[in-house]
Amino acid sequence: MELCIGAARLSSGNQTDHATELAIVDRCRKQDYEAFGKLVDAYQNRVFGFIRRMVSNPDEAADLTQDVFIRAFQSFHRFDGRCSVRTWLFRIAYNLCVDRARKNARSPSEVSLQGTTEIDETFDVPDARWQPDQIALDSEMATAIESAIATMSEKLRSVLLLHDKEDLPYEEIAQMVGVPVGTVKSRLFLARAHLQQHLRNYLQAEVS
Amino acid sequence: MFEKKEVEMDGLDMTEKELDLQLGSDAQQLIRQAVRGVSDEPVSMTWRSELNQRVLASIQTKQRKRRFAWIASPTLGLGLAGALAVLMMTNTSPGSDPIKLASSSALEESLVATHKDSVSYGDITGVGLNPDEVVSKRSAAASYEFGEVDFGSL
Repeated sequence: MELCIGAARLSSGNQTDHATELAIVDRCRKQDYEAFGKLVDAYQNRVFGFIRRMVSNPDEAADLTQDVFIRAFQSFHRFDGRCSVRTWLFRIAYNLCVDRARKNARSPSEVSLQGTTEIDETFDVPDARWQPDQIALDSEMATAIESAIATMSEKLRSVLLLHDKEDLPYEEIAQMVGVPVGTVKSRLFLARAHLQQHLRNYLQAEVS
Repeated sequence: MFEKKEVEMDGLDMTEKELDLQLGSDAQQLIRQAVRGVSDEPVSMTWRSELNQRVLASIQTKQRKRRFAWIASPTLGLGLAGALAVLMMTNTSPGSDPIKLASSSALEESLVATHKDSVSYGDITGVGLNPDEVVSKRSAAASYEFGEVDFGSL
């Protein structure tokens, strides 16, 4: 099986890609440098994107992303295959971010949960005309989303990114973060509500 | 089936079913799509190059460790065996210790006595005979009875 073809398909999740991923993982377990390179090609941007949003310093984020892949390469023999490589890599990334936060002993800028629980029930959804999965977000909107995510607490941010950005299931996020599934859901709800509040003006202007 | 289990985390006071419904609402799904649509910043070529170097260094370190283990494990085994042998030798009983036996006074006395006997036998019998031969020849000479022929030959 050609790894070049497989690595490009790793991001999606059909049966063929799963088989390709298994073949690459098998080679990575044997410390195959080339196979590991394909894996890095497939996931480097996504892992870096996650860490970049969890860590404010871009240089530190780049270093942490390297640490994720180095750690993965060194401990591939411990990868049991019960979850996907993607989940495993994000788990390593999440743990490194948590470790880094502990080391820096920096208190994250927590968002008041009382404030975020005030959900705007009158929020209009222009679903008929505005279909976000079909149109590209412009740079202004993207900047607004990025800044809104940056003002979130790390707990809410990690769950939001892992679920909405990386499309990981609740159960895997719960296992990764070490909280019950219900807690993951409530955090996701609060994170989206926080984002909704920050993007409200922009979205209304977009609609009008 | 409606679940009564309440999710009371982070100030939320609603059942899990209600929470699922809220998460599936259009407003929440809109935000989900917006987050999903944000593009990831690509990593630089320099970053990738550094990662490759680190991975290669990691491989070399592992190989070095394997090589060291391959050399070190038999060496360690031999060393352990040697140490055990030395330990066994030093822990033997004092009576059978050849060094202690050699340094004991009884052996010295025995050696001196043997040497003195040897010298005295040598004085009597001359060089080339051992003490046993001297003794046996003496006794043989003592029991020999000379005949007339013998005296004649003398």
